[in-house]
Amino acid sequence: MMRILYLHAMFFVYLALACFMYRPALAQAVAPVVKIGCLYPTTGPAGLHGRDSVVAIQMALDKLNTAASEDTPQFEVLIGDTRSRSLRSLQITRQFIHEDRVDFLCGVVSSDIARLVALEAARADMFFIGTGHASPSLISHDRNAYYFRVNNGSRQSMLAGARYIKDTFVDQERPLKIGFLGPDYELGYQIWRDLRSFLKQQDVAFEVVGEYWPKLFETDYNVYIRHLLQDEADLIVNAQWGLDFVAFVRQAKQLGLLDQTQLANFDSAADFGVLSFLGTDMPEGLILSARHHVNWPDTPGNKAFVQEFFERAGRYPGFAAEGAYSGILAIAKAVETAGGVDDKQKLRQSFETLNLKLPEDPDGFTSFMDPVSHQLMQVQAIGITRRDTTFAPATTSLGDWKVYMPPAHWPYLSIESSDER
Amino acid sequence: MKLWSSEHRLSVVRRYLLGSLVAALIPLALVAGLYDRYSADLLDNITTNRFDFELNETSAKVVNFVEVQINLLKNIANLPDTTVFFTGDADGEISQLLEDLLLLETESPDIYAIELADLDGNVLQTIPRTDVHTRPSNHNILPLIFYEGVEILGPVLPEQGLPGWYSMRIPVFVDQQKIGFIGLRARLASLTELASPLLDINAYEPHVVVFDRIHVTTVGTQAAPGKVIAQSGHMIPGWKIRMVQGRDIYQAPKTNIRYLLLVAAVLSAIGLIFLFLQMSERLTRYLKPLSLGAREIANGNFSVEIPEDAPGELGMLARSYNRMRDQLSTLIDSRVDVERRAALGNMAAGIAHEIRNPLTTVSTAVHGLKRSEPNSERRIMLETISSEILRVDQKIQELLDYARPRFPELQVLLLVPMLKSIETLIASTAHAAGITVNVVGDSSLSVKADEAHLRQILLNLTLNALQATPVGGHVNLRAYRDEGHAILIVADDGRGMSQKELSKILRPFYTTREDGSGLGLSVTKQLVEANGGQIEFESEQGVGTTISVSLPVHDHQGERGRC
Repeated sequence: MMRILYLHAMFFVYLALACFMYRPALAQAVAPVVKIGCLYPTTGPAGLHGRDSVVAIQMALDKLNTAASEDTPQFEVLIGDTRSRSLRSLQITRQFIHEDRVDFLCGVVSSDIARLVALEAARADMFFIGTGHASPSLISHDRNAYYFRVNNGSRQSMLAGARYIKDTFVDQERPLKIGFLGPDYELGYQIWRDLRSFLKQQDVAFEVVGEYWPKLFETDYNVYIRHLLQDEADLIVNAQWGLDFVAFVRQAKQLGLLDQTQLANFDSAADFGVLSFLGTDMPEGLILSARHHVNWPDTPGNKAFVQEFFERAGRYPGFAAEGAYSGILAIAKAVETAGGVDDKQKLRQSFETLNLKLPEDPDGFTSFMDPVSHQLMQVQAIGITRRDTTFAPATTSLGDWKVYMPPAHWPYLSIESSDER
Repeated sequence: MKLWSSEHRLSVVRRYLLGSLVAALIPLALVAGLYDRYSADLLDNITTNRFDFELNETSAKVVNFVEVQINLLKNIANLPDTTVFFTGDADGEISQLLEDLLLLETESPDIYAIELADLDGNVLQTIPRTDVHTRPSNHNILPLIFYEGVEILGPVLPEQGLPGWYSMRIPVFVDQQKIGFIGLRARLASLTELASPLLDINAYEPHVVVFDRIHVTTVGTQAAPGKVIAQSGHMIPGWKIRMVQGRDIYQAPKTNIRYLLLVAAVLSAIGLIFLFLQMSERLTRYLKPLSLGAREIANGNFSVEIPEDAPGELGMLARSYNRMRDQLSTLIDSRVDVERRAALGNMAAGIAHEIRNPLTTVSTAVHGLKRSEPNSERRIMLETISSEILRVDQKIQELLDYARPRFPELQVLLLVPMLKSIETLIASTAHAAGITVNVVGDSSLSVKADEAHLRQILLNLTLNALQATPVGGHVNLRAYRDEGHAILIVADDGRGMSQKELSKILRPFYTTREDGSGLGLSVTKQLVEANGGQIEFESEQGVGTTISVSLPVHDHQGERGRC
């Protein structure tokens, strides 16, 4: 009974995604259809990520349309609104698999939900192309043969973050006092573990003066900020994302924490949605990054992507948009390389050898898939907030960039067992 | 500055100022002390009352929070699917319905996972599947309590970069047979955050304390035991909330303010003392001359004048003192003069009675003898006797005039004609003495005075000048107007006088001449003053003497000219 209620309550956005190589009259007769079921929150506290992703998916489909040939398959994308809820996401996944009989699953901006979806997809031998979530679990100890991720994960951002800390705080004569605050779930734990491990790898002397775990979607950080104030850290590493980071920064600014201590978020806080929401409340001088930036790299490809998105949506894209865009293009390229969706082994090989030029790639670099971890390897750029009204309604953008190229292979940590490798 | 010299120590000024100082300082100290005590007591009372109320309120919230989780466990334990899981042939597989239900429950951020375990405690299923928050290394020493049929283990403090948690476990029964356990791993911070309204991190901090050995902050991290301000009763067995003194940066400012107030009070006291000493010193500086002046007057010395530059009433007092001293001096001088005149008058009346009558008889007899005396030599001798008798009579008359002066009969007199007539009178004497007499003046200048008195005044002064001037010298008579007064100047270039002589010349019977009576200038001064005027003397030995007589001028219309 409960299940029936949930199914009835589900909200699907179906996009008619006919991607024809030929003129419509010819295409209808021969082109196979590839169905992709994407899970994004399009409502709720993380809804902007989902809405950005929907726009970007349409952009990707239009791009495929433009380049389509005679035997290119059609792509049909189904979008389920997860509302950032675990059980709802799981049930949408089951419906995609068993009722809609999709060929691929994609999306999911929450790492916890992504683990549930990945498990369910693996049970059904279905490829799940992750976009938007970042926890390294699914590409390390929880990885499976049907899961690939096409956006930078938090481990890559923490590797870049550790390098950034080494580059920036090398003059410290004493161990760097670090305070940490991250969301109390899988992503927060992984980020904190990875950052500490990479700092040790980089021989950065540091001391943890406090670590705090507010709930995901918490709105009141007063008590945490007061403890952080008491810790008197040199650097506070924040692992929040979306509106959680917005609320934290506003309250930290009011309580004087940002006057006392440098704040850094190396993973996703420079998301354009965050910059927009904070507006003039976003302080200058924060060290931030994201998986995609509207003003970096300064390449024609990225400018075109940002401009087209703006023309379609009336706003600039958050990082989830470029992730969803990449996901569709990755699936299309793998299908093209494998010659269809029937041979899963070929498809897997196609994903494992994927090279994909994406808007976030700087000149001279192309994103490539690590064949072992199934993680797309990408550049991580970290910058500092500064006043800039170019991308309104945001009043800040990042500048003073430090760019970190990815390693040749997925960076396993010494704390992970050899079996996980 | 000698603060406590013997001269100052007991002065009235110092006593009054010291009294005022004490009167100012004692209330200041009392008010500061009472205010400080009142503030401290008020703060303590407010804090205690607030703690009692809020600790009870928070304890109730925590108990309610735990009971909600216990109810959740009991609901799960009573599900048929749960029973089937433990009794069926599922081989540890969980039904989708139960899995979905448990997944739905774990969407609460307060619950990390729900576990299904066998009777030995081996976990068979974990929803959602996670490897965090697993059995900790110190499992065997974790606090374990039983509350409402539920086993509560923990708390497990944050370690290895993971947040803290605690677990709750309840047995699953079938036919009163225990067949397994349902447990949940709960977020520790969700429980401790319930105490966050009590947090004032710099003043006091609530700690959730379990069996007095595990201390947890409101954010679920390990806390250091501190000074306990207040504590609740047991929320659940062994669990309570303690209010621990924080870093207390408020206490430091409060203490600083207290010290600041004390320092301000002491500085105020020092300032008051300094101010009062300054005032005392200043008052003494102004009052001391008054005291000395009064002492001098008591000793008969009226010449000590005191400065009148003191401010306010002290300046007025000094001016009044000087005026009083002048008036007293004048009064005493006048009194002496009156008494002297009275004595001289009595003496002169006696002399007139005792000498003038026989002299009249002698004069009459000499006059008769002179008429009948044919011998010219004897007649010359009798003439000499008559003239000497006349001179004695004149001296007696001067004495009488000084002792009993005649009241002036005022009339308007032109000064220059008066000076001319005096010049005429003394012309032969001056010529004989080889002295040049000059008269200069405003011909229209007139005064209102007694003519006889004025004539005698001028005659006395010019005769004195002639007598003091050697051969070839000059005597100048001058009359001019000066701001409503007619000034008559009689100046000579004679031998002049010393200051000592000058101070005595107005004394009766003081004279430097062998044939002088010593009454001429005394009478002159008396006559000047009787006519409303003043007389002043300036003299320098070897240079000459200038006598200035000032009389009220009489204004009238007439021609003016110089002679």
